[in-house]
Amino acid sequence: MELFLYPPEYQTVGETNDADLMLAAQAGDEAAFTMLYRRHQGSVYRYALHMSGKADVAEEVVQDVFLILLRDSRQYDAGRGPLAAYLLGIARKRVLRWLEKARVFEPELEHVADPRDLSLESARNQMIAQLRRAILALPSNYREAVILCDIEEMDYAQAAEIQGCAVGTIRSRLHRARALLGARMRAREGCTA
Amino acid sequence: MNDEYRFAIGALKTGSAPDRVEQKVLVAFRRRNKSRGTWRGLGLAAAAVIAVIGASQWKPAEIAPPAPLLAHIAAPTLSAAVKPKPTVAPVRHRTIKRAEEIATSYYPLPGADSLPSPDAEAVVRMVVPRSALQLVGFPLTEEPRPEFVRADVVFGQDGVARAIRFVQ
Repeated sequence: MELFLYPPEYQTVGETNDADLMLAAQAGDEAAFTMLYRRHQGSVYRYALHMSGKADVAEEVVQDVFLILLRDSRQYDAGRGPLAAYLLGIARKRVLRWLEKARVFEPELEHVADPRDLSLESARNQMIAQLRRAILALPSNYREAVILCDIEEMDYAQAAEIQGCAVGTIRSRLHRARALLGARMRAREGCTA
Repeated sequence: MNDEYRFAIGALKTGSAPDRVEQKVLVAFRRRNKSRGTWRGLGLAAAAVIAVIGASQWKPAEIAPPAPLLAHIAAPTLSAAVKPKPTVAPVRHRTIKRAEEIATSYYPLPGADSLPSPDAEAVVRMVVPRSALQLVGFPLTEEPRPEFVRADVVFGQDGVARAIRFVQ
């Protein structure tokens, strides 16, 4: 199988499906595995970053998730769901374990290396930073619903499968989370004004 | 708020792991492939050694011909009542102690005279109703006796019984 690597921003899911890439990667095709990594590392990283608020934890989670995929690649069954959901399921376990170890979770936003953060003085970036903090301050179930549905744009069914709950539960968590975020953002706006 | 929320959320949709993570993962991938290749090579080598050893020590087994279920024997001389020698392979659980047996002579069965003489015959040990004794002229007593008796029946190659003798 000949595969061509594209930068992440040019990848589309329809090019080569994940199941074929998995088979090729299992057979030792590095290009296939690299494509899988580049296709899915972003969502795993963002999930771990927004859940933990720490870039080093997010990096560690990404590394662990793909090492687990390497080690137990035959455990993934394409018939049971998309690879993205499978990887986020692994990431979720790692993040929740980390959150348990962290015990008292301090919702402090760690500086994330992002060129946009260089000009935090701007109102736009302040708002983004506020939202990050507000998301981190949410209860983990609500936070997870926002990350999966609003940031990663998953549908309710996929998010429900990852969180292991009913679709209705996801919907209500998301509704409640958005309301909390709105209230916190307004409160901060009031403080800054 | 909704527009602001959408805008801020949109900004959070970007971000990816640094390149160093990809390098670490790919190093692990290459290491895994290398070790798998090594194990695969060792496995193939071991299989080849086993195959060579097996081939050098293998000798074709001498296959004995299967024992005949029934041996064809010479047709008994019915008048002389010569005891035929069945060469049926002995079966352990059905060992017949010939030395302890008392057998009658062979008697032709009714109608056997009109049958063509067979080229080959077989003797089959079987259990027949006691009334078969009467068939060849033995008197049936009123004494209590077993309902069945053992008998050697001579069959022709056409499958028709020719003669019988009784065994006790």
